[in-house]
Amino acid sequence: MKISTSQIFDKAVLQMNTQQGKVAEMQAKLATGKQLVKPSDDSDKAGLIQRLNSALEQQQVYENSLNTISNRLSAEETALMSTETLLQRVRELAVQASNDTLTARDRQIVAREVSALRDEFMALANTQDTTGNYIFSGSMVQTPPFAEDINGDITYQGDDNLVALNVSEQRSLVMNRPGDKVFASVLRTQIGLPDERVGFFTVLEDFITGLETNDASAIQLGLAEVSDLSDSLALSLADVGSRLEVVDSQRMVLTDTKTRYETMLSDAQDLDYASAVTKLSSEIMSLEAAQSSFMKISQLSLFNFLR
Amino acid sequence: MSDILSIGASATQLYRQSLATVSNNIANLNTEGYSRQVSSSAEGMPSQQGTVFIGTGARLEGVVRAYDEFIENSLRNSSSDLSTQEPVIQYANRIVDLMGSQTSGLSSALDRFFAAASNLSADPASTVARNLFVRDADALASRFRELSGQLDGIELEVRSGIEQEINKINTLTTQLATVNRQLEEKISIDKQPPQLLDQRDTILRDLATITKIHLTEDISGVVSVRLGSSSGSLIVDTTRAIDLGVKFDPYDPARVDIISDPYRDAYAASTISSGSLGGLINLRGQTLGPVMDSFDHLAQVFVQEVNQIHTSGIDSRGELGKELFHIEPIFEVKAPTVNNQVNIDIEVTDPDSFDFSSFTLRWMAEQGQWEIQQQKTGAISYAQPDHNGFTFAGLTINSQGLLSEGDTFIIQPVQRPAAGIHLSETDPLAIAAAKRLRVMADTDNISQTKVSLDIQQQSPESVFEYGQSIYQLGNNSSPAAGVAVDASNLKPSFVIPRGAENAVLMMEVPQDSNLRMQAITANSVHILGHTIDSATQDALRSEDTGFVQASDYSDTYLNQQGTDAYQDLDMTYGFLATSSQQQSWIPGADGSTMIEQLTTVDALVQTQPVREIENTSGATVDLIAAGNLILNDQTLPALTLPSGEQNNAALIADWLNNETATTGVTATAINEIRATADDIDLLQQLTINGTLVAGVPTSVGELSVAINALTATTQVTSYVSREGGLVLTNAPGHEGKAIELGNPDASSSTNALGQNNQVYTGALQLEATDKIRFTFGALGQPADLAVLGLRSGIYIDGKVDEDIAVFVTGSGTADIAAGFTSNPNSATVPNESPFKVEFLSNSQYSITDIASDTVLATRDFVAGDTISYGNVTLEFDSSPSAGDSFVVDGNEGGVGDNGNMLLIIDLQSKPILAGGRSISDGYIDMVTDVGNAATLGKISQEALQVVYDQAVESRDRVSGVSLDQEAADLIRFQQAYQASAQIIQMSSKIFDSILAIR
Repeated sequence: MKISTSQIFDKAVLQMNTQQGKVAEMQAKLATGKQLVKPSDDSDKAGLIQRLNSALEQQQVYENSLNTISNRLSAEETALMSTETLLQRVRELAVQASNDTLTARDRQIVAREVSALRDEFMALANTQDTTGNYIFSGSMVQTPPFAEDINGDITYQGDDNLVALNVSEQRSLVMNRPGDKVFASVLRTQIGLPDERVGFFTVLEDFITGLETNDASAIQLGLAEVSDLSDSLALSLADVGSRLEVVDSQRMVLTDTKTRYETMLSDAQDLDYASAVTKLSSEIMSLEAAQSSFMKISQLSLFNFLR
Repeated sequence: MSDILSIGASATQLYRQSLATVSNNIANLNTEGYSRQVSSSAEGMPSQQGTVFIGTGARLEGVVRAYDEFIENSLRNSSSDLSTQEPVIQYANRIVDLMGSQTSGLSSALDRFFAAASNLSADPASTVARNLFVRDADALASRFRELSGQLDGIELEVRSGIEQEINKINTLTTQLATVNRQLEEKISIDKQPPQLLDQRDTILRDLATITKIHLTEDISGVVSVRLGSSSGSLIVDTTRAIDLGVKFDPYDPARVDIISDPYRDAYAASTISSGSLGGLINLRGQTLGPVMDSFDHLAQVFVQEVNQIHTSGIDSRGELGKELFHIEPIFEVKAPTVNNQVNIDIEVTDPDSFDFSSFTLRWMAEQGQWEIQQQKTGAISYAQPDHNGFTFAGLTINSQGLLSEGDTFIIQPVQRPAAGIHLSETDPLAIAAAKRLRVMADTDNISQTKVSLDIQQQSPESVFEYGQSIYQLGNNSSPAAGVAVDASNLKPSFVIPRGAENAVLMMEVPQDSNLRMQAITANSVHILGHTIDSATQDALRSEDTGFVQASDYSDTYLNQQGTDAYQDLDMTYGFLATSSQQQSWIPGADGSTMIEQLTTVDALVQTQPVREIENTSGATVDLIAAGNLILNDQTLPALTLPSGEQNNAALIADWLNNETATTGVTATAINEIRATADDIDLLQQLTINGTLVAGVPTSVGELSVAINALTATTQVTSYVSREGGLVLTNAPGHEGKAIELGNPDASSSTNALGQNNQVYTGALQLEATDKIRFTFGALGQPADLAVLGLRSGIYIDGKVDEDIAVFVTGSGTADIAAGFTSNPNSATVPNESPFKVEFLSNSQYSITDIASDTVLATRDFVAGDTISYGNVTLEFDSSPSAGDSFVVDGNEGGVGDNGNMLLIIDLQSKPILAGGRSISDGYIDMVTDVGNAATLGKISQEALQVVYDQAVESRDRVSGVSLDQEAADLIRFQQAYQASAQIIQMSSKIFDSILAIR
């Protein structure tokens, strides 16, 4: 078969160019440490890497949400623990005041202390977080949850909205509890009167009035209702605690998921150096072989022998 | 004569020429398109010497190209196929690298947008988080625009690539035509200079890389060329080249039209699917166009979904969210005649007046103004630009640069969502993070039930299954527009849709019919109509599932007015006309200004002719029973008709005028029969109230005189109207009496007036300073109003918040027409004004509109039920106690609520695109699809490269120059030349030998 002279040259140049390209590509991979230098190298894999990157970013978002919830719940827990201590003191005072041996004057002194404690409860119920949001006013975070209304009664000013955050694809966690559920009301049942729902601060208010007016039945009622308040507060505390636990367990799940995605991402995009270096050597060898064989073949010409 | 010397001489000549051919081959070793040339020799004609033939040497027969037509053909075809793949691979890879990049692709911007939304949802009250959200939303919009711009750049490149390839084809075909012209000079291909044929083949080979071609070659080597196959468009017709041109569609980037002979006949060329041009066209049609389309679609869907959520939430000021993104049109500006560098800058400043139509601007230097021509209508207008440019059709247009007379710009607006997406809401506080509604349990509730609220995003067009929307009747409540409707006691006939303003439904009933109208809400609140028994209550709601089953029937608001009315709406069932304000302008005292003057026009009604009823019973009858009709809250007595008399307007007018003191309504009876000039047929006869109008009148005037001559008998007078017609009215003292027209000629149903032969009852004119409002008493019904010539109607002043079912009950068929002032196409959401759910007992609750204190529904409750009203659904975690109440209202002050932002976050994984894909999945799939096209192209290219290489090898085997071969030939011919030279020497020696003989 005849092979034309120009074809010999053209082919050799083409082959060396191709080989040159392969070497350059391997070099680029080694330099970046990535399997894909650009997405067009393998668009399917590039798509997978994009998806994994998105998923990882998403996990980061969930982690931020968990931190927010955790901070918020901790703030709630702190406030509730202080409230519990204070309620304990009110309860002691109520027990003390219901003792028949106390005089009207003694009860007035007790009233003054309960009154001071009530103000502290107010401060706790109107706790703000680091960003200045009221934590117990539902979604009306810029409105103090408890304030005196025009009648001088302390009433709940917030709303019942629960604010939930996504912490995984399937799960969202509620990060707040409306103040009227935390500083809960009690059902006042009195003989001869219809059942009535009475707010946290009204209970204290009525108790103080009872003490001041030395009204034994009111003091008794106060004692019973303060106990109810303690009970429901204990429930709130337990609730916050259990939710903090959920946050912790969710964080573990999140860490696992994140690790899994990271491994997958590394498999998809990171370069296996050992095999890459081997491959580079073999490509270089091919290139050198092409070059040296070309040098020899190009010397072959009948004209060399014409003298 | 053969002699050794001439043999030697011819041989040296032959081998010198052969050596020259070989040298030429060596010289053209690297010449592109050169085919190796071979010299061929032939035996000289032998000379006969006696009985033997002696050879006379050799001569050069010719120098021919080493050439194989089939190999050349397969080389061309394989080069077309191979070059098809290159543009696809090159551009598809560029698109993948652009869109699939971690930094410049859309994925990362989308991720950041949703991360910012999530961050904002954690603390919606934080202005920092709001700022970040606005920033990332803006970044996302600009990423859309950047990518779209890059795609546009690629599109532009491909476009100019196609134009260049077309130009190359045109150059090559012109060259080929020239070569063909030279080839035509010889009659046979053998006689053609090899160099010319090489040139021809080089041109054909170049053409083949651009597009596949089909050849026909004639005997002298002249070729005609077609695109693609034997049925393709001709591009070279022997010595004539036919140019190609191209046209692009600004609306459809996938479309390319190739045109033959664009500057003369301009007809569509056959499709080009291979070669580098075919590759570019395929790329546009199959890869680039679809990518641009799907990217635009992606942007469109994204904006739509985000806006739908954003506009249904409320911002931190408690206001309803506006659109977060908007899509601006893109303007394609073409400037075919403009020499200077002029930039035209167009901005949509009034989106409502902008209608997406194309127009042309032409600069008129002398007047210093623009001439604007609408492309669609051809309408021309002029605009004088000031320093702010000028406005046109909702656009503000500015030009920069030196304009000269006749400069023309063609401006085409194109809807390209990805290129036109912009962030509309840049105010962080206006980001609607909160849900627009909330529910709150009353703090006094006995039970501690927790309640949650869900807002449905989409609401059905009508809650009712049956019942035609009044919008479908058209906005025309006149009697002529009436549509016949059969009564039904089982399902609604009409629905007044929520959002309808000032709805009116008018019903015309036959005499003595029992047809009635009833208006009932989906929650079974009967608002207008007649008192109905419980069987009817059940029957009406039996077939349409739109009625809430748990709701109890209520007639608390039936036909009530003022604050007792349903949602305090001003409603009437019966007949209503009110006084109106008329606005006029009168010249002011100084004569130059106009002063607005408002005058109150009395309520004024002209009824239809009253019902024709004749009392033949022999006793006085009640046409309308006492108490059946109420006029302006005044119950009317019975309308009686003495025996033997006919109902007439005068009678009714008297009856109404008896009550004027209490009703404020005065009635006038009139009867007028108007015949137009065209109606009148003087050849016909006429009787009025039984009396024949004598004589043969020859004009309308004479007819009128003849009629008036009989007034004493007929109590009817006439006059000629201004239009030349005739008007008949009652004679004074007989106003409102019926007039009977007839014709003694029994064969004719009409008369000289062209009117039907019948009794014409009179009509009433009612007038009151305030209003005329007829309603029904306990036993009254539309048939009673019909006696007066009035239709009965449902009138709702203002806007209804919910769909209202309207029944036509009774038996028979009524004519119904509707009127309204609202826009039927405006979308309306169901009622969302604050309402209260109150538990009346453990098993019953009511829903009350707070603003009007209207009970919207009273329903039965079973533990575990959810409560739905309008778009809102309430869910309880345990059963509420009697007395508990829950208020649903706007989320005022709920700055910490993130309900709406959570819905935006859900979009990240929500399958909003076709095939159940999320926005990011759709994007990545789109990029992967392009990548697959590139991969496929790459595989094809590798396979086709092998085919091409083989074709090149085959051609080289035949036509290529090998130095070794040429060296061998060189030696061969050199030796032969030397030998031939020896022959000459030898012949000289022989001659010498002869001479030497002494």
